[in-house]
Amino acid sequence: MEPAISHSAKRRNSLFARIFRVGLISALTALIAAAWAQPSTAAGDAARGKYLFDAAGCLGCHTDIKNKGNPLAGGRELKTPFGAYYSPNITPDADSGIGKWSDADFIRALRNGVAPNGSHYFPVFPYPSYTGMTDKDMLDIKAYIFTTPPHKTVNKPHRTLPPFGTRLFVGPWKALHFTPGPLQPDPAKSAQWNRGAYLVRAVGHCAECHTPRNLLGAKKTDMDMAGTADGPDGGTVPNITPDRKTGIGRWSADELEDFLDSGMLPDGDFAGSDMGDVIDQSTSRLSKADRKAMVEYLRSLPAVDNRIEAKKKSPAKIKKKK
Amino acid sequence: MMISLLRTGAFAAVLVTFAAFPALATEDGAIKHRQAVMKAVGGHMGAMSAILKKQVPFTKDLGVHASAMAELAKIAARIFPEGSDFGETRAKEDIWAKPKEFAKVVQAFITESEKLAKVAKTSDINAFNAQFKAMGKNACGACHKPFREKKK
Ligand code: HEC
Ligand code: HEC
Ligand code: HEC
Repeated sequence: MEPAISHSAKRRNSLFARIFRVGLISALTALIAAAWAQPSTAAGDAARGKYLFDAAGCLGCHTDIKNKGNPLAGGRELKTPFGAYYSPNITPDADSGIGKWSDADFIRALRNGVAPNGSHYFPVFPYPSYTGMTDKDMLDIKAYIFTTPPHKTVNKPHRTLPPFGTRLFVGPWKALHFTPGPLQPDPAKSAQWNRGAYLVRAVGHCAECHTPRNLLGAKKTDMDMAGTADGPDGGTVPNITPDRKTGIGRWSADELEDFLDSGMLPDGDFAGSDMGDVIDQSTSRLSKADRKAMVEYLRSLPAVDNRIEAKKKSPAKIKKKK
Repeated sequence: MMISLLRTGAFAAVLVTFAAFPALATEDGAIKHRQAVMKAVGGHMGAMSAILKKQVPFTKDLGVHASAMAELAKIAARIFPEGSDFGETRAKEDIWAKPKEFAKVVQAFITESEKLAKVAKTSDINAFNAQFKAMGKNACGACHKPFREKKK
């Protein structure tokens, strides 16, 4: 006997079944993933985490050094063409920091740029790079952060221009310009090259400053690491591709390694400003082997001909004597 | 009336030019001089680096560069006269706003470069290398980071 069910109802049924099946599969996947992540969750290695925390430069951005703020308590001003952002408190304080965060919350923030309440983070938080880190590395960083002293410091609101100040704008932006997921090793390349790629791209987030951006603040992919005259705080950021004329193609591997260790340029000058901080807080604290790996990777980048010149100051912009 | 006004105007203009010009010239001069001294400092640094990396065989010249550096460090305190943050310079206002912190890095430059000149006399190349690095970090880097503006 024909079941007393209409055609459309049948179709709806099978749709439900399909949704149910998909739901079941993703629930299972989540379970498996959770089980998989379990061992590293339990054993977040704080010592290993400290090394990665340094390599990733979390401290500098999340500490208001200028106003003698507490470490990781946030409040540092980050000026961008879209306005001023203030880093939040990421100390383990339960109320004003991230003390109540689960491992999954932490991974979601770094991997997907999504807050525990589901809202999007602005990409001034360099999660478009950190997304490339492994779960284990993220959780080791969390383990380290949770060994640091909690500080009660309430977050400052950002002062940004519309639409860049609204989180609703970030969703569509991410859909266009952001691909989440751990960096995939290139099996055709050496282990050292792959380690270097991981440190430069995911952890060290060098491209966040060294790659020029378009009007919407998205990195220009064909200008990878080619420098910009519109860097953080309106400063210039040099071209670090191996182009011999406009990049660092004439630096020896030794010179580049030395630079990441001490800040000395081949001509005897010393890096200051943002790069001085990167060297102090990150690259100089890495092992020699890791610096070598970064150098190997950097020297393998495609050369881009892009001369970065300081913007000629118009007379009005020259500093006035007070 | 018109003519006398014009004449006063011209006179005033001349006066202003005279008054402003020397001040501008000295401040501009101070900036040029500072940058020249810093280039000399950088020149010795670059030369020592090339020697230490064995790009050139002039190991015995390390002492010359090291003592030159120690001498240059002594004039470093003089190359930042008040008001010389006016014009094409990367010197930050904090040099004058935070004189105590600035004096500390100037002193670090003097101390570290004296140590380097001393080590040069022992011909212990490893010790020299280590002190060369220490000076770079504690003097050059430690001052450029807080007190030198990025290129804009
Ligand atoms: C370039 C500066 C910068 C660096 C480097 C940086 N952050 Fe942040 N971070 C920010 C900003 C700005 C925000 C706030 C983003 C927003 O409000 O949408 C943020 C947000 C966060 C949050 C969310 C906090 C909250 O209360 O919702 C966490 C967690 C975090 N960062 C952890 C880290 C860790 C861990 C590192 C190092 C691996 C790091 N950050 C490196 C700038 C930075
Ligand atoms: C916060 C922004 C920022 C980040 C992140 C950053 N850099 Fe830089 N970098 C700069 C700036 C600014 C300069 C110029 C420094 C100066 O003028 O003293 C610079 C200079 C350099 C130079 C010297 C180039 C030259 O021709 O003078 C190299 C090499 C370099 N960076 C490599 C790196 C690497 C590798 C990383 C990642 C580990 C990195 N940078 C991350 C901002 C940044
Ligand atoms: C006490 C602070 C201080 C110390 C120490 C210092 N510098 Fe500088 N340096 C500056 C400032 C400020 C400028 C920018 C000057 C300007 O633009 O007017 C500068 C500029 C330079 C320049 C660029 C000069 C030019 O205009 O082309 C070089 C090269 C340089 N420094 C090398 C060094 C080296 C190498 C050391 C260490 C041996 C060193 N500096 C130590 C403050 C310092």
